[in-house]
Amino acid sequence: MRQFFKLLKASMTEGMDIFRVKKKKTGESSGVGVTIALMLMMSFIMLVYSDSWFYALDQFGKGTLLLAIVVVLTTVLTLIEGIYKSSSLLYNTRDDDLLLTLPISRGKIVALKLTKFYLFELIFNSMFLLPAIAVYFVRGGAALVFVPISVLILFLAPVIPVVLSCLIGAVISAFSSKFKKQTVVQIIFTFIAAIIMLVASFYFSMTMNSDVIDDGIVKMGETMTNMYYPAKLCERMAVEFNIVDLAIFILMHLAVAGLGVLVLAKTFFKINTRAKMTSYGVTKKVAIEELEVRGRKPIWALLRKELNKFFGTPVFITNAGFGIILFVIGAALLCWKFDDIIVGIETTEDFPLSTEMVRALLPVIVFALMSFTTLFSFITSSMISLEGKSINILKTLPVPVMTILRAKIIMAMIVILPLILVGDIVMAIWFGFGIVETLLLIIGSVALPASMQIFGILINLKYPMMDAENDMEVVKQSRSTMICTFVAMGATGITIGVLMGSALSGLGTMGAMGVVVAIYTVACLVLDHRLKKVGAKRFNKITA
Amino acid sequence: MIEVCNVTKKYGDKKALDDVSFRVDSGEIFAFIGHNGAGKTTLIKAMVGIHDFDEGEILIDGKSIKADPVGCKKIMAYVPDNPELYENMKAIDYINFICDMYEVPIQKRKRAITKYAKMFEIEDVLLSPINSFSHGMKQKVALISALAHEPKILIMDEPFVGLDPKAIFDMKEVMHDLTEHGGTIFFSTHILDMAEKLCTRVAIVKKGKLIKVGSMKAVKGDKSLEKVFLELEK
Repeated sequence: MRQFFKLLKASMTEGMDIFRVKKKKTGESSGVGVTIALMLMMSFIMLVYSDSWFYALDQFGKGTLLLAIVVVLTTVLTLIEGIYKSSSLLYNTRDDDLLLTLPISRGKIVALKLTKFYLFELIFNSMFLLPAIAVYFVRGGAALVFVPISVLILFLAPVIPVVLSCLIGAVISAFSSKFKKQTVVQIIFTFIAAIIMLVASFYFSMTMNSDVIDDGIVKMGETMTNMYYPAKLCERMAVEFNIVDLAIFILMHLAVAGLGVLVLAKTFFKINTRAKMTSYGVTKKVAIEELEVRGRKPIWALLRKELNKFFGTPVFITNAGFGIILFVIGAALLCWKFDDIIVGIETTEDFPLSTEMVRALLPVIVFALMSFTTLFSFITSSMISLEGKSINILKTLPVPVMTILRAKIIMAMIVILPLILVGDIVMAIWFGFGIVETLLLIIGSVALPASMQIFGILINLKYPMMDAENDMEVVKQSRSTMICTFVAMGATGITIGVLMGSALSGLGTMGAMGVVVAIYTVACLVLDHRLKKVGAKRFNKITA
Repeated sequence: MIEVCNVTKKYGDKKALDDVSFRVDSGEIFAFIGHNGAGKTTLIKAMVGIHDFDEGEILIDGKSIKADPVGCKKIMAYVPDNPELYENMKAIDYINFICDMYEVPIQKRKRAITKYAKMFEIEDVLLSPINSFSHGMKQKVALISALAHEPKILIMDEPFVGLDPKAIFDMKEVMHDLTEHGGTIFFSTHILDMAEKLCTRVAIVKKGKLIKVGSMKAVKGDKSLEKVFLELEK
C-alpha cells in the first residue's frame, strides 16, 4: 500500500498541473490562485442554484431530494466526460514503459490510473456537491450526523461514474485497436457513446418536463432517485441516519471500484499492447526517387503539421468536436422541431415570452446557440502544451514566433468554422432571415471563435503544461483549459444576456446582434494586439 | 562562425553557465565536452534559440541570436540529443516540413533527401510514421532534416548516441565534407576518443565555467584528451 501511495504521489506531482503552486525551474507563481478563484466562482453559482432548487423542493416538503438530484447530475456529467477521457487515460500513456517495468502488479497500475482520474473528478464534483450539501445543511436544518455522511457522499459519488466510464473506454479501445485506423474508430465510438449518454439524459429530462406542472422538480428528483439507487440512498440518509443504508452505500461503491479494477487489470496488458502495436501502422515500400516531395510556404506547412497533430489526437478531436456536433444537432432540432417548440411554448403556463416574440427573436436565438458552441470550442488552449518536448523543434525554426502561433489559431478556425457556417446559412435560409441578420450571424460566427482562440493561445502561453503523461491531461485537466472553460461559461452567459437584453430593450434583433458582433470584433483586435506584444516573449520563455 | 561572448545563464541562484566565451571559426569542427550537468546542453540550447540567457551575447555569422533569431536560424541547423520529432508524421513528411520551414527548393531537397536517406539506410521507412522508429532511426531523421537545407553552421548535442557504427562513420564523413566547404560544426560529446580524432578545436566545461579552450593539440599536448579531461575534472 505504501508503494502504491508513493507511486500515486509521484504521478500526481506531474498530473495535477492546475494545482501546482510553483513552476519547477523559474520559481514563478503558477497562477494557482486564478484556478481557485474561478472554482470558487463556479461553486458560488452552484450555491445560488442549489438554494433556489431547495426552495422549490421544500415547498412540497421534499428538500431532502436536493442532494440526490445533484448526485445524479454530477454522475451524468462525470460519465459523459469520462467516456472520452478514459481511453487516453488508461492506454498508451507516456509513463507506461516505466510503470510496466516496475515490480508492481497490473492491478496496481490500473488502480493508480483510476485513482488519478477519481481524484481529479472528486475535486470538480466538489464544486457542485459541496454547495448543495451546504445549502441542505443550513436551509434544511440537518442534524450533526449529516456532516460525516455528506463527507462520505462527497468522496464516494465519483467512484461509480469513473469506473463505468473507464469500462466503456476499455471496450472502445479494445474494439478500435483491432482496426488499422484505430484512432478514427476510437473517435467515432467515443462520440457515439457520449451522444447516447447525452441523448438519454436529454430524453429523460424531456420526459420529466412533459409532466411539469408546479411540482415538476419534485417529480424529476423522485424519478432520478428511483433510477439511480445510490442517489436514493443519499436521500434516505439525508432524511434519517440508518446504519444499514450507510453500509450498503459504502459497500456498493467499494464493490464497483474493486470489480472495475479487477476487470480492467485483466484486460489492461492485452489492450495496451495492441493499442501500441497498431499505432505503428504499416510500412509502404516506395522507391525513394518516386517519393512525392512538395514544397509549401512555412505557414501552410505549419498549418498541415497542426492538422496532423489534431487528427492524430483522439481526445483533442472529441473535446473540440463535441461542441460542434452539438451545434449541428441543435440546429437540426431547431429547424425540424420548431413548430413543436412553439406548440410547447403555447401550452406552457407562465412562459416569459409569447410565441410571436419567440418567432421575432429567432435570429437572436440562433445567434445564442452559435455563441454557446463557438465560445466553448477553445481548441488553442492546449495547443502549446500538446507540443511537449517537440516545442524545441518550433523554437529552432527560422520563422517568426507569430507565424507559429497564427498557424495554431488558423487550424482551430478551420476545424470550427465549416460546420458552424453551414449551420448558420441553413438556419438563415430555413427561417428566412434578412441579409443583414444573416451577415451579422456569419461575422459573429467568425469573431466569437476567433477571439476565443486568441484568448486560448494567450492563456496556454501563460500556463503551459509541457510535461504531461498523456494528451488527456493537457486537453482536459490543464490549468489553461480550466481557465478557458470558466471564461467560456462567463462569456456565454454575458453574451446571451447582452443579446436578450438588447433585443428586448428596443434595439431589435439586428441591434442586439450588432452590439455583440462589435464587442467581439473589438475583443479580437485587443487580444491580437496583446498576442503580438507578449506572444513571442512568452513562447520563448517556455522550457520543455 | 560562432562567437559566444561572456554568456551567463542562471536557474534561480544557480549559475548553469558562468561567463562563457569562445569562438568557432568557419571550417572548424569544435567539440564541447564536460560532465553530465556541466552546462553543455544549456549552452547549446542558448546558441540555437531554445533558451534565453541572462548576460552576454551569442553571434551566429555576425548576427545576434537575441536580436535576430530568425536570421541566425536560417543559416544553422540543430540536432538534439534526444530527438523529439512529430511522432504522428511520416518520416518523409517531417523532413519535408523542416525543408518547408527553410524554404528549400524542391530539386535541392529531393537531391538531399535521396542522398542522406540512402547514406543512413532509411529510404525504405520514409513512409512510416515516426512513432514506429527506434531512437537511432529518429536520430537519422533528425540528421537528414538538419542536413537537407545545407546549413552553414551545424550544432549538435550528442549526435552519435543511438547511431549504428555505419551511421557514425557516415556522419563523420558528412561533418568533414561540410567543414571542407566552409561550414562550421559545434557539438557536445562524451566520446572523447572520437572528439580527439575528429575535432580541430575543443572546449572543456565544468560547473558552467569554461576551464580549457583551444586547438586540440594545445589542449591535450602529448596526453590523450581523456587523460587531460579527467585531470581537469578532478
